[in-house]
Amino acid sequence: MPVPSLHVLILSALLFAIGVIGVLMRRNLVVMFLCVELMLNAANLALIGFSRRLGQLDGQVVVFFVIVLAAAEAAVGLALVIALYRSRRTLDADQLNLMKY
Amino acid sequence: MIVVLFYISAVLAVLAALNLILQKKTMNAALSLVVCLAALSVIYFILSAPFIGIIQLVVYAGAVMVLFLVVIMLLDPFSEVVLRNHNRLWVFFSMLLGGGLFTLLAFAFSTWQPPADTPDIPGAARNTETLAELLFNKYLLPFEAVSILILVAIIGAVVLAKKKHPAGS
Repeated sequence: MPVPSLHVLILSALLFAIGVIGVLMRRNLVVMFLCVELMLNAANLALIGFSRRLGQLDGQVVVFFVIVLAAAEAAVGLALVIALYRSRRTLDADQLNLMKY
Repeated sequence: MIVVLFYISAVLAVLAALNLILQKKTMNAALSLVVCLAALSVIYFILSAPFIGIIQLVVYAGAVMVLFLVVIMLLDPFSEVVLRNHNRLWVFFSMLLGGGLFTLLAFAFSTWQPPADTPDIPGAARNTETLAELLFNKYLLPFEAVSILILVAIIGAVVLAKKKHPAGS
């Protein structure tokens, strides 16, 4: 008995909602980043689920690209976090409310 | 049997995700994301996408998470500061928004019907081979564009994270 496609999609929706709640609730920049990664993974899971349901592999190619983009995004984002921490000595998103001073 | 494994992995992924957003320490949050990624990798294997499952483990749970852990250790290894929003109204609002989003997505997914002539479950056989054929023929241009993008991203990351030297030195 195969796994129902709907359950895969529901799981992806649940993970995405948890990621959104995390980004809204947490104020630590690194944890907000981790929640964004969680949302990307939920989107990947939905793509895999649709690819399996439709019997095409194009969705898996898109997931491959999303993983590469997530790696690039993590590298640039974490470099930004390091640069911000150097100049402000904080990771609290609420205190980072000025573009420059 | 394989269905049971799917549900176990799904529950594990959701629990790890909840731990990620409720955990006080940044380091523990990052490690629970690793658990979530590993559970998702198992799910990819079950959903007949073995290549993506391996990539998920090696690139995501391996390389990207090491990057995160290094940055966390560099910045605030075991800080007890709970950088969480304590405004009750805001927390309630974000819960409401997340719940609404989940309901919307679940509704959209449950009403979605695939076109009538699609096969129900494709075989996992020759998954990697077929994927490579797609990647290097139909998706060759995006593939090259992404390779340039990741090169630019790495150079940008090095430039951004570099220590600023005083002018003239």
